[in-house]
Amino acid sequence: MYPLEMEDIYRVLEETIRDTGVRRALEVSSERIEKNPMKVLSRYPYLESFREEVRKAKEEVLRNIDYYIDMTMKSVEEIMGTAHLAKSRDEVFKLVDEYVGEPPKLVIKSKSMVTEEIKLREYLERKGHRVVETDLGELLIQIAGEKPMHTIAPAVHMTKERAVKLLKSVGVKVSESSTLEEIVAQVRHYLRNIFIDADVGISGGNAIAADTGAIFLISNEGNIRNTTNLPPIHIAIISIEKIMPNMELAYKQALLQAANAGLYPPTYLSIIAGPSSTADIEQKRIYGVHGPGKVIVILYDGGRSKYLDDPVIWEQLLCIKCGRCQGVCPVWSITGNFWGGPVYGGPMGMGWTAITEDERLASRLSLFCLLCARCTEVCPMDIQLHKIIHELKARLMGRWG
Amino acid sequence: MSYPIEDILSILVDNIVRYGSPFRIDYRRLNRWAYENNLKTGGDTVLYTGLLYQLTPYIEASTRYLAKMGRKMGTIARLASKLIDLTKLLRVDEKTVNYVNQVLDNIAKMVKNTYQDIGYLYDKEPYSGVLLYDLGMIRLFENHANKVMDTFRENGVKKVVTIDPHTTHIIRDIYPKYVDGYDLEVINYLNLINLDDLEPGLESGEEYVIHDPCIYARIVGIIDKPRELLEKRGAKILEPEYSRQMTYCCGGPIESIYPELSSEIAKKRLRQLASKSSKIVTLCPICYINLSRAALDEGMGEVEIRDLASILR
Repeated sequence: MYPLEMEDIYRVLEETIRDTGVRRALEVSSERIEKNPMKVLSRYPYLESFREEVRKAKEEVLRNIDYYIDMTMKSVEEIMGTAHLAKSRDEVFKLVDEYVGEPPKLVIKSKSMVTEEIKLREYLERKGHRVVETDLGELLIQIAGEKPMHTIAPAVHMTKERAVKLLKSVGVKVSESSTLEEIVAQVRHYLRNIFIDADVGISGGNAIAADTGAIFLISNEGNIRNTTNLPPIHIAIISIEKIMPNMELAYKQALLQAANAGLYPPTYLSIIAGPSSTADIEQKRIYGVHGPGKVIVILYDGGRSKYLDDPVIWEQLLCIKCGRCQGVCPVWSITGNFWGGPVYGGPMGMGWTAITEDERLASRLSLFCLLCARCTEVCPMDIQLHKIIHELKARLMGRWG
Repeated sequence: MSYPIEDILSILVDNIVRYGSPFRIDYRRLNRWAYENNLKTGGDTVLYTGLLYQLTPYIEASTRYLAKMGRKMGTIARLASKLIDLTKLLRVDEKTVNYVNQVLDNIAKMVKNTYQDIGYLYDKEPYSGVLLYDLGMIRLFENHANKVMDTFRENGVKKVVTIDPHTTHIIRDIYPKYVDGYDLEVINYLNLINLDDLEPGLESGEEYVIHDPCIYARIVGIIDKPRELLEKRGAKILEPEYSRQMTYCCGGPIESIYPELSSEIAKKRLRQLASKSSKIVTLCPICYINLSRAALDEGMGEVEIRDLASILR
């Protein structure tokens, strides 16, 4: 079970503080997460002007969430996709079962925080399917049986030695003397046939445009293009706060997320609007040419709508999960997501843990926050993260005495 | 590990409720500076320390005590909270007491340049309750804040001059949300000091690396003034890697929650600062304590940490 009590939180943090390998890796990566976005934003100053626009649009969507969910679903159906709204993880599981079919199937996944939330990979594996994560960092997390350390860079805490050990254990042909280039080449080789043979590809979504039903997905490895393009079925599971009113704003949100993660321009930005098709022979439209013939969008609530009216924590729903607050946080740079709930950690992780897991756990974790407000200073959505965290402390400690 | 968080917090909170501040302050020793400056008692405008500087020797001593007791602390803390006043167990360092008096003496003299007849509340000087607020203990904080405001009203105080970031922020920005009829005027002493009142006194070009407190830099909005003051004194200011709005925390705020993590953060910040200069300027007593201890732990004897006020006169 995941630690819920203070004693467990202290134990996990103490282990992390004393693990020199993890500490070294986190020190390097937190510095990178702090500095890279600054370089990007000073070089491409127009990104600054997206911030207010995107925040306003997200506020508009959250204020009228039912309207935008409805519009998004209609738009997806119009482009011959299938759309569902799932309130809980069980509802997602039921839908995924329907589309994946009887086990054993080969299911490939791109990294997605929402599927981490619902533990979809573990669910499908329990059902008897073979599930493979295609993002290298996430693949390492899958093999290790751990939780992602950062929204964009899930394996930031792992050393090369550890990565080699993990990859070897699943049959990737690497050794202690392999260079980083050799490791990556072997992973490419290992995943190649898996991409080709997969029955279903499952992705998240950086944004979805309500006016068209188009899904926006960012990747640097290129794994998302393969995952969403090669299998005959593509299921995209997207949390409701990722809905943007239109294509333009969805595009801007996606770029803003990439920039604030320090990865700009993103190597790949996929826009997926329905299944692949052709009408080249006798003008009759046939679905499923080179890409999937079926595209299913599952909009996932998972506790979010409960917090729309929360006077303080609602603001967390504006988060675009760039993870910039994590890299700049003095606590996170020592603990990583070990200071966090089962999925989300660091400054943004406090609010997200409250929303998607358990408010009491989030409150206990919040006690370790310095309230130094570095997170709030860098948040591209101007979320008052330190105030959310203070509120969580107060919900636990408010009645003390 | 089982860190006795509830016991530690109980001691601090019990003290605040019973005595008004996290540790029982020896007002006689720590108000020496106010007597020496003949500050009048109370009045329309007072210097409000919120006791944060005066708590320095106690925080320093208690951290030493906790480190020495290590994991036996659970039992000890329980005993202490029930039977004895922990403050009596602490050996306060006379050197730190003198240092605090010197810093406060300098601040009082500089403030008197603007407000000749500024008052002080002496042994009625209340702690702001910032620890209660930061820990989320809202009910206790609200009670405390209202008591503080009563003390101000009873003594005819309408305007306070604050001297540290935490007290400035809490009493200026947070009190209004919890105190009915809040009408206090709050000014930070750094904004009061006139550059013309300062004389160059440092050896010209003496180099100092400046450590902005998080609360000044990101919340209160005091960044340039301390630099202008230091330069007027003749100092050359060096900026650490993380500075101004992006200044880095000293780790102090989680000292009572998890000392080990707090100390790791302090060491990290100390290394950032010390790589620029061994002379470090702080503007907050909590930063001063935490960075000083980190220097001690890291065996960095060459590092000299000083409060801005101790350099300005």
